[in-house]
Amino acid sequence: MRKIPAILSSLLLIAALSCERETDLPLKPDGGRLYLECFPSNNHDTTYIKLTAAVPITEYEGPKELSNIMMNFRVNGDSFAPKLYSEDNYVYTYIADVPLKPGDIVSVDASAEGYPQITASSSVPDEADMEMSREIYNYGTLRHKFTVRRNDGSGQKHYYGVAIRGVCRMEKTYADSDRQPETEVSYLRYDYKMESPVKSKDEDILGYKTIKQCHVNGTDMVIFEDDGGKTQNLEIVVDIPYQQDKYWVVVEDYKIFRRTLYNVEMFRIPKEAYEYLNPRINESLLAAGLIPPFISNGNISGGYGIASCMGCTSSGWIGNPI
Amino acid sequence: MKGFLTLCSIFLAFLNVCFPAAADEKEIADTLERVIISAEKSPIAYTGLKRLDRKELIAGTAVLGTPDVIKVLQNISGVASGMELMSGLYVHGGDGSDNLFLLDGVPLFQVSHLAGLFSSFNTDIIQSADFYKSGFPARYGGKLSSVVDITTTDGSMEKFGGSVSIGLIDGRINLNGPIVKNKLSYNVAIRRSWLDAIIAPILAFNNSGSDTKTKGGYALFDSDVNLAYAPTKSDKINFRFFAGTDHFSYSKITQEKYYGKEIYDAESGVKTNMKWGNIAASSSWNHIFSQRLALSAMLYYSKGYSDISDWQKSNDFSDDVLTSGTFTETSVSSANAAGIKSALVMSFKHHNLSAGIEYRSSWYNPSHTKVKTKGEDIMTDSGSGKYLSHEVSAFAEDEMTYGPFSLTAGLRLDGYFADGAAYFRPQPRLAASYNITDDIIAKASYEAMSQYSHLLSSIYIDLPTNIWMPSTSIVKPSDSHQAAAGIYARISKNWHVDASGYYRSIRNCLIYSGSGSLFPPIDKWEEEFISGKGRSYGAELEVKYLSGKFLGSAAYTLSWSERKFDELHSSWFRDRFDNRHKLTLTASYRITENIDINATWNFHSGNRVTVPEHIVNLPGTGTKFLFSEPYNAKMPDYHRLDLSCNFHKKTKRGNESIWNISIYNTYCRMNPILMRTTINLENKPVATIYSLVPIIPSFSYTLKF
Repeated sequence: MRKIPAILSSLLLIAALSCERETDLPLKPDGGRLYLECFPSNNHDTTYIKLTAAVPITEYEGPKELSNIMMNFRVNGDSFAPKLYSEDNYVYTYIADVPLKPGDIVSVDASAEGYPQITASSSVPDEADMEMSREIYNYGTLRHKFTVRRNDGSGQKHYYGVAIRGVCRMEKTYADSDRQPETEVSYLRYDYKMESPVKSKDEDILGYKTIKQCHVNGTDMVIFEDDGGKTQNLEIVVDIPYQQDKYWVVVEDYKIFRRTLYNVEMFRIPKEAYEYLNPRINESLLAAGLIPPFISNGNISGGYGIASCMGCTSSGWIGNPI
Repeated sequence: MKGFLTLCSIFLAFLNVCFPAAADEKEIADTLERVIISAEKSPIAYTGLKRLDRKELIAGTAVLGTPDVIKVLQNISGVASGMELMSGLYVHGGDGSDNLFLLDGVPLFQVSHLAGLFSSFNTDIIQSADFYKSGFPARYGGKLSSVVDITTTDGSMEKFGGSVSIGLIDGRINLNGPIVKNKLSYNVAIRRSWLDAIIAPILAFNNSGSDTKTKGGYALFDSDVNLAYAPTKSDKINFRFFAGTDHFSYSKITQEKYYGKEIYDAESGVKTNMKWGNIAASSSWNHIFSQRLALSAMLYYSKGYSDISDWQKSNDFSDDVLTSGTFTETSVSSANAAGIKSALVMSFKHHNLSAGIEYRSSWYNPSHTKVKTKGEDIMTDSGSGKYLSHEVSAFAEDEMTYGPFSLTAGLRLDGYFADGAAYFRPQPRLAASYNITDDIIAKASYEAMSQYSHLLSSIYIDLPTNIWMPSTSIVKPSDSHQAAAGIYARISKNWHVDASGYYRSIRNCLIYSGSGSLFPPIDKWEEEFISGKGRSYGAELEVKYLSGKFLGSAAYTLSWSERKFDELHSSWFRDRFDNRHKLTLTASYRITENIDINATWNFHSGNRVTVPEHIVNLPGTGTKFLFSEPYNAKMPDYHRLDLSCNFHKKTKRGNESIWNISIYNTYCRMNPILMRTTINLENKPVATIYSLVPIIPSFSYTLKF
């Protein structure tokens, strides 16, 4: 509404009249903490675990190296030692190859020299009660429809995420039948459009939205919330651009067929993970003490971050329409 | 006679009115008051009662020339004032929306103007204000933290009188007098700001020579009307009306010319109008049956409302055709309460009994929005459901006095019904005092309080977009239990000391979490409340020095205020106005018969803010601030000195004129209102403090007649 600029103009006028000065940070944090981030789920055999150092704000000069890292990944009490997968600017990524199913209890703990040990635990949620269908919406656009059913009557909000992964296969076959076919695979990132299925009258001028795109487990994911079951059949529509599978190169010696496959996944996300990924922090208003202090601490005991399981329903790999 | 006076005193406290006290019959009123106060249980025998008369309410520094009741109450120990200049009252760890504001017994929803800068109470018509922070009598209910019970003055039954005041940003007129001598009187007080009149010529200057005209302004308007009718010596009937209104407008209109086959004139632009406030009306009847029995009855209606409209016009000129489109959107919300209450007061040798009942119906229209295009075509007409609640209360209280020992024991029973939910809240109230000697009184109190209406406010500022909503089956009432004890001592003729301590717990403490918008989402508001617990405890000390010319006082508070919300943090955390220390020093000195000076120095520990404690760098995400605990840091301490001086003079016609000169924040301490953590150019985190209020000198002129 047009009144919002009027109100904001008044507030800005007040702000313009104010004066500012720098001061010492009024904190004395007692050392650094570990920061861990992982989102284990069923239908994914590999869990990526990121670990890095959270530096006290009063001592901050840049990222800090970690040494003597110990990490343990447990599923229903059985331990698995994650392997170091990569290290980038003192962010250490570990992988744990353990298949999970709904109801599994996943625990992670980690330690490093000079930092308090951290622990976290989470259970794999049930998959969403849903149906999935698809149709060609327009030429070049596939429309995926999810109908999520809510009949539990709890009144509690549920949280979801939609992730789309794609692979492009360049399948090369030779005229010479003695030569073996070759396939080159590359991963695709989709720029798909999606709107919140819950019509909200919120005007997100303070920065908070009920739908957000974020990066989870190396994949782009759109996360959103429902209305606590008021809408019993939640319709979610995702439009995915596609290119027809076709011969890319046809020459005398060989032909290359370009085939695209994609995988649509719907996740049930625990509240703690949703609030962590979509925090309600408006730092200016928080600094003024004008909004409740939703600080999205995650669920890591002794440190920061999140280790929260997600319940995944996967469409499997689907070929494009021809 | 003593019994009659005692009855009067209880009645005075109970109904705020005993006799049609004449506004200008000051001496008579003072004498009566002294007699009454000497007969009743003194306010000092209560743990948390402050009784402020009009003199005390206007004695403080008038910010921008306007004396303010709530800013005087902010100086009282145990009260946190919140953000600077705002009319916040955070009593014993409570929230700003937990206070019961009664104007002549009528509850008000909206009590401040201009986002909380000024309160809606016009001091010209106020007789007294009773402020309770503990030891609540059983007749009060419906809010958790405090009671601000304001009584207005009846007009004189004898002769015409009044006053005119002019301040920097507003003016006030008060007129009172008899309509029918000794039977019917009126008292009317009006206040209006003239910020809009100040801004208008500035805007006109800017607009000169331009095709675009910008207009706008802000005005506050308060009116109080009190009609008093005394048909017999034992009866008094009052009709009272109050309206406190804020009006903000803004428009930007451009005159446009389009050249085609002919020249077309058209205008385009935007207009915004916002009007909000509170209106209240009541009629009351007080009857004294005998020296031992009196009755009061009251009908009232109160409405807090907000009315916001936008208008937008744009033009399109193509193919030599001018097409204009208009868009209008209006959004209306209100909270209404209508009630009837009656009470009976009986006086015996050792017992003063009071009992009463109250029925209150409240209905809430949180939002109704209409959108129109050109003409009368309604595009959308949407609104949330109306919410209706019923509150039935009964109370009984006995004030027993046996020699030096006094005990006020009361019980309030509330029945609350709304949206298929029913809540019953028995609320015991106990207040005891014991006169150890003639000069020393020990006192203690315990009470339970419940609150059935809750404020939906996206940000903690008093905005017209804030909405009151009732308790429902999902949003349960809030409950509070408080115990307090203290001791009052008159050390000498001049020195008085009052020390007390309190502990308070709050159950189902509510935070509205719908911070995604300035406009609370009224379609799912119940889900946006999160529930937690609160506790507060502390000690308060007041020392007063009273002599003929000099009055001085020091009020110190040592307090803790904590919250526990599982959705915010796993353990107890400090509240945002957990000001550990608070000290208010006031001094008033009458230099001559015509000149007096007043000084107030306020100090409190800084308000708490939430700042990041650690930093992490993640690939793809960048620098991320990490927060360990809500309100984990304290801003720099707050202090300021206010000075004021009053020059009294008799005019040639024998009227009194008063010049008031006030300086707010005399030594221009730039107190912080917010603190933000940022990364500076050297990639170092720094805290930046923002301050708003410098020194504010002001003056006002009052003529009494």
